[in-house]
Amino acid sequence: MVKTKIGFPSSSVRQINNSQLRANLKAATSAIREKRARVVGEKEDWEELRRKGEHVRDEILNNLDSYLMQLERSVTAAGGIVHWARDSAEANQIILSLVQGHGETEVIKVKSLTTDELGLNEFLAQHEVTAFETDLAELIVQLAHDKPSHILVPAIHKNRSEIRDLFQRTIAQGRVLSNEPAELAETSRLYLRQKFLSSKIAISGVNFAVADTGTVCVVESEGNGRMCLTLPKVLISVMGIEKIVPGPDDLAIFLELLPRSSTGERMNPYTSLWTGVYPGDGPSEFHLVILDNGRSRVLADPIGRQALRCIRCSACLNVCPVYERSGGHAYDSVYPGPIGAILSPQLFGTESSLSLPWASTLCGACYEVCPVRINIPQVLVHLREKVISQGHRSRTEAMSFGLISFFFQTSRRFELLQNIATRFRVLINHLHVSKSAPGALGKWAEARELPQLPRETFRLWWRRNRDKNGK
Amino acid sequence: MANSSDRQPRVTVLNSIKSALANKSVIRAPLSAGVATVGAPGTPIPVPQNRSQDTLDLFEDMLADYRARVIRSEAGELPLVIAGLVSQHKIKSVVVPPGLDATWYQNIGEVKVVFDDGSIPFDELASIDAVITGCTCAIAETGTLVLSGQPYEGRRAVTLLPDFHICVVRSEVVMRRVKNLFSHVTITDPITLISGPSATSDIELKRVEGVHGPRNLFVVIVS
Amino acid sequence: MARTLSLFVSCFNDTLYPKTAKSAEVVLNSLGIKVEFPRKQTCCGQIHINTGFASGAIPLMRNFIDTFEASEEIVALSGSCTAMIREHYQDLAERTHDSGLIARTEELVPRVFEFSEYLTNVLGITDVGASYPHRVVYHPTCHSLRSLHIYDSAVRLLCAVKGLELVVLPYAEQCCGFGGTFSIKNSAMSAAILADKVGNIVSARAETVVALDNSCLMHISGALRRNNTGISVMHLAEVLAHGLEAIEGTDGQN
Repeated sequence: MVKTKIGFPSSSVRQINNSQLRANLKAATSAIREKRARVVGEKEDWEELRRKGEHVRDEILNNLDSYLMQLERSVTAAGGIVHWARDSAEANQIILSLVQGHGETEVIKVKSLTTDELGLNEFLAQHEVTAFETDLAELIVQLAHDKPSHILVPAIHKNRSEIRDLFQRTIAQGRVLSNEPAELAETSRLYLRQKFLSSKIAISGVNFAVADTGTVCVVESEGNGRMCLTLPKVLISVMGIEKIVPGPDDLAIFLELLPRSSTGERMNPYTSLWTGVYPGDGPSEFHLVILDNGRSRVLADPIGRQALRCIRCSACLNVCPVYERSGGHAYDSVYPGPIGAILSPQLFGTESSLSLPWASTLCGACYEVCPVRINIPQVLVHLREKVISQGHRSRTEAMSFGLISFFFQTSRRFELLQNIATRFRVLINHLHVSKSAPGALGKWAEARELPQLPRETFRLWWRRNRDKNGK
Repeated sequence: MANSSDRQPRVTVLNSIKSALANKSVIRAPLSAGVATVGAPGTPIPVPQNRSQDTLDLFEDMLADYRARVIRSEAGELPLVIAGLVSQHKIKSVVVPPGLDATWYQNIGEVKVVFDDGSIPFDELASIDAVITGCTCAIAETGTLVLSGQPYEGRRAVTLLPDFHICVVRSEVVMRRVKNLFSHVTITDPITLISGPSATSDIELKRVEGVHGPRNLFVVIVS
Repeated sequence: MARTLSLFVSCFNDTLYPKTAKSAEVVLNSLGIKVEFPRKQTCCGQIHINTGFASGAIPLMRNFIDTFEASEEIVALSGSCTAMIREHYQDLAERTHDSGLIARTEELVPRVFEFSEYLTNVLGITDVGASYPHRVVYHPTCHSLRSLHIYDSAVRLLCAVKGLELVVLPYAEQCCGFGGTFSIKNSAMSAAILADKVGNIVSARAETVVALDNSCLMHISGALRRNNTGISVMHLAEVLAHGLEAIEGTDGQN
């Protein structure tokens, strides 16, 4: 997108020039890439699993309305209460009413991208309800008044010393901390334990919901999820309409695909599954909020809809050369990286998100690691065309591409262009193009020399040397 | 829709899904697309499967890889093994679910044993050092314990709040692969899959054992 | 009768890197294959598709089909153009609702091969008899690696070149940051990715960087020259033509 000054090209520049951020990201993404490659390599049937994952997700998307109704029935039968929200405003209001209805002013939260998408914490704060993030990385982000920059590791942009300093300032209660990750984790354990024991309401996202049984699944590592899902009296879980799997055996496929793709573990430390409510075990009240917020619109695009297969593993972020150097903040969305580049413009369509389909070299590394085989490059190219056809384009660019198309469609016209270039070859080759040159040339010259035009194009050489002798 | 008074959002959401799906076009991806080129740099190299062919060995390896402590035991030795763990780690109090085989902890001596009848408040549970449970089944290839609220496992809070979890796994319930999971456990039970002690990789992606759940996981495999 | 194939040179090589096409002819001739250059060829349309002007690619695709449908085998001197043809031509044809064009496209696309792929997978040849006594790194361009899956082809061909020392390029599988118009639209990002690629090339102490796409090589070489590294870049075809015969009319550039 050339038209807008807002957007990825400008927002990424600041990050590119931040050498500390670059170093943190490079260390983190390469570490997790290697972990993933190792545990994926252990599964001899990995490609088959990916295909199954793709197939199951497509089956759900192609019949989403009936699976949603089935899920609603089974959750209700198990004693849960289902709510529907068309957009973030409705979802936020449903959650606020539930919290206020119980007379509470505090809630604890399990890391959830969907609630980040809702802006739930900010909304609750406006209504005198404090939401405490309990995932270590989300806690770091919350304490620093920062924003998450990675789907899985929201504080990936911060290194241990930065986190030590932050904890020292906020939750260490005067204790002196080293920058050992173990000690930092211990600090959060001490700080949050009382919150877990005293809170009445917890809010979570949903990794998978099983339509057939009404079972809800949350995967996590630290145990903060189990605390939130087990100890409070009331549990409110928010899910996008697409987070369904048909039955138990389908769920098992994703329990294989997700952890290996995500944290590079064979299995994450804790996975919780619950179906409605149980007497004497866990919350006595369970609410499931089903959220659309633009997803049904994405579903209407036959190429773009594959973005809804996403299971939020973040493998695509870790292999993306662009993400590795920009970090998540440059994407200006809760969904950063390659998946964000195809999801954000479709879900939100904000001006800054419309530049995201171009925030990729189309190198395809994301597609290769995607556990549900989302062809991200295909969707990127599709969205580029879609955004342009909606009129978001610069006139010079549209004109240039029109001209290229005109001149490149016959060899006669093409040769004419070539001959002009060759005629001015000496001049062109001696141009000292500097960074201050206008337009594309200047951009190119920022980091690279221009190629030299040869004395003769191949086609002329061929005519001189081959056609004469008869081919 | 038991509680929601406003039915409009439900109808709108379902209708917009229906109309979105009216567009029946299917997208095609070439079969070869999106597959990692084996042997190319940076792509996963299949690990030769020379690792333990035996399911129990594999289970033990995978548990140990995620820093759970594993002990193999004969059924008759179990009380001694548990007593050993308790004394070795200076555990002063244990909580047990109501249906746990009492012979398992008959040798732990002076240690205080609390029976969880479901009425113990959470802060009291949190002050107990250890919990001893059985498990419904286990998965070898991932080193996973599967708890599902059975009488020998207790309610979920019991295995969450104490800092030590001693879990007894009968060798015959260890399955090899994740894909068989739900033929061995009822999905509608309250299920917790546990793979190693609580851990985080949130700081520089460095795995640290022990955040909010039990920081010490001992698995006793009984044959 | 000698085997005959048609070369799809690509607009880019035709204009900027004629030596690559001349070299390809040398290599193929040395294997007893007759090479034709259908004059009507221009551009596959990749830049249009990748930038979001897909409709502009349709006349270019039509021209490609018109030009090459009489050819038995078409060899393209670019991984990304080959990938473009395989991944997008069918969809583009279907957009026109021209059933004739759809059928012609379906018929043509399987006959298009990338140069190294043609040598190893169609002809079954890895040693073409070349010699190039230099220290070389191979950069697998993204489309050749992840769309065409032909990493092996180039590596096997390079390993068979006499005197050539193929050294490991760290993080070889990572993109060079070119991405066509990406290098202009997100120029700072493109330059940042490129800087790391160049750093890896320099750390491998290579004399020459070899790849299957001159577009990526133009980008890499632009930075290698800017930083005065003295490291050259070469399309695989040029390496394979070394030591086979002198190329007539070569002006020594690129």
